[in-house]
Amino acid sequence: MKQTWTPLERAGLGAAALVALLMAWTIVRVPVVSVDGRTLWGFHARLIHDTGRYPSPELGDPGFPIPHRQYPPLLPLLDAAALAALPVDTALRLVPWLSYLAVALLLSFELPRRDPERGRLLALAYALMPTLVLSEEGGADAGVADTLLGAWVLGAALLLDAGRPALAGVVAAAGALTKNEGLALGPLLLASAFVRCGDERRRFGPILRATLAFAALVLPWLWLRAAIPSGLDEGYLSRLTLEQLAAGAPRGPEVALQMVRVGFLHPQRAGLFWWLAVLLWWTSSRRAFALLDGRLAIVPAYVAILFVLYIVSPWPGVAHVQLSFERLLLHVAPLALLGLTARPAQPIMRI
Amino acid sequence: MSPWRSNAWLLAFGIALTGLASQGPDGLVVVARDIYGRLPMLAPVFRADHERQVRALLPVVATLGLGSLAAYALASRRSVAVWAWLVGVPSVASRRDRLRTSIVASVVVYSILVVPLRLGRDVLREWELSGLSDRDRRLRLYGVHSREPDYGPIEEFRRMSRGEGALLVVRRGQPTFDDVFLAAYLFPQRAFVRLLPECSPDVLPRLRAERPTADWVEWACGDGRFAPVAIGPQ
Repeated sequence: MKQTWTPLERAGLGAAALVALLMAWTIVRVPVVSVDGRTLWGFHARLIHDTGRYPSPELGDPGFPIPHRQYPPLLPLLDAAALAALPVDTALRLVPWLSYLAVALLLSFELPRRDPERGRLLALAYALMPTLVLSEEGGADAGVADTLLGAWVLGAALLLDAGRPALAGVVAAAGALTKNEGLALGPLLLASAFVRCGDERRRFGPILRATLAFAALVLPWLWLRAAIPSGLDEGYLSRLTLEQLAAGAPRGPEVALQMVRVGFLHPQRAGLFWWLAVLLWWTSSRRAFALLDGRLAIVPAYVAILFVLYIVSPWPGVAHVQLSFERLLLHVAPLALLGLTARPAQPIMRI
Repeated sequence: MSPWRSNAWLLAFGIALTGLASQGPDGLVVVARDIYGRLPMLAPVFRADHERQVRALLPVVATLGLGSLAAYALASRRSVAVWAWLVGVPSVASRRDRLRTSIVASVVVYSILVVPLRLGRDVLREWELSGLSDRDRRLRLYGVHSREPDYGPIEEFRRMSRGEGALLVVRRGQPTFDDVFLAAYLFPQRAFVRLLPECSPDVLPRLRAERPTADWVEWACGDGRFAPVAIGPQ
């Protein structure tokens, strides 16, 4: 077991502490200026805080111009609670920021247990994803809702590793109630319980328990959501038709190329993180193990789902990829680190 | 391997940064503009104040470059292999292990180096906004998105209406994202949008009946300035 801290690890820890302080400073000083923060989760949270209920009457009023009326309620509800406790803009960004810190802390404990040689550096690679914390708008992007979904995904994966499928289902459901992408990521994650769930392998029992817990929380929300009119959103579910797929197919190669460019050549949010993920997996002696038992296969599967959605997206050309892909990759960044450090002989964390 | 050779990466890094710094602030701006130009997603955010911030980063770039050159000379003279010392890879580790650790370490080094650059720019940005009220800061920052409405008149309206009474935006054609920005900006004052084939004051009684809480109407049918008018008593 590696004990001593290298100069780079010490410098990284210092930089991470500085970054955390800067985030706190920008959260207090800079108003929410990112478009999603102002018009999506921030706006929904203000509405819940102002009306004291969800769904508020404005969500059903077609004259009230609020985008993504069917936006999942968990982050707005948490933000509304934060606004009730601290009635200034600052409150809106506290929840995602705290979730980012929680993920960074959790990884800094878990990864060195799984990979004593590189665990600390890997945790630092996540903690120091630069634009996440120091964005064009002075850290406003530190509050992206994607950070919170990434935290739920990590939590669900750790619970599956610990042999707690029902709890994992609850946490995955929290992800689905945070962002629509959680509706795709949750089932992918829970299906991986077949391969590995605590000591159980190749069994359907854990999947069943996890799915029941997931469905028990998500289905009521979907039922409630069906009563809210859609509007000013991409309406992906209605666009997933053979006609739309055929119509979007010609831009497939351009979309794929743009995804590679945003992920690897022009990373503004995640720095060199995805280079790290690919190179580390490629040089691993346990590639197949990382993909299956480490659940790393969820990352390409999720990217494939995003690719299909980009193809049917109502946005022109590849604009949607440029604006959102790197942010959406944050959902699976902590999960990728778990997969990269998966080892059969390592004792799993008991929760 | 001789330390002068194993530390060559530090020499190359120092030369690159020093070379960049020797171009002066104008050269830095040209490089930054080129980067923004190549990244379509960044194009709308390169503004005059960014240019000032990039210019102000010159000392950071120069210090990093000269520091790297000095570190190269000093460490090589003392026979210290900087990378192995920095990363702490044990000499007994396999080649594969050393490679894997170096991959992760490179990403962490990159992230650490980005911090002073980002920090410098954000601090400078904050410096420029210091002394402004929260509302003015917001107004200033909101103005950066080229596809957003002009917030000056909207702010004027907010002051004049004291946040009371709903605003009815009468629009011809399709709803726009401007309406969303407007509603978010005026909130908790409510802004409602009504799409009509024609913008005519004749429809006012009907609109009043539909939205009894509305005290203001904005005829958003042309490209004119945002100037809501009070809806008179019925």
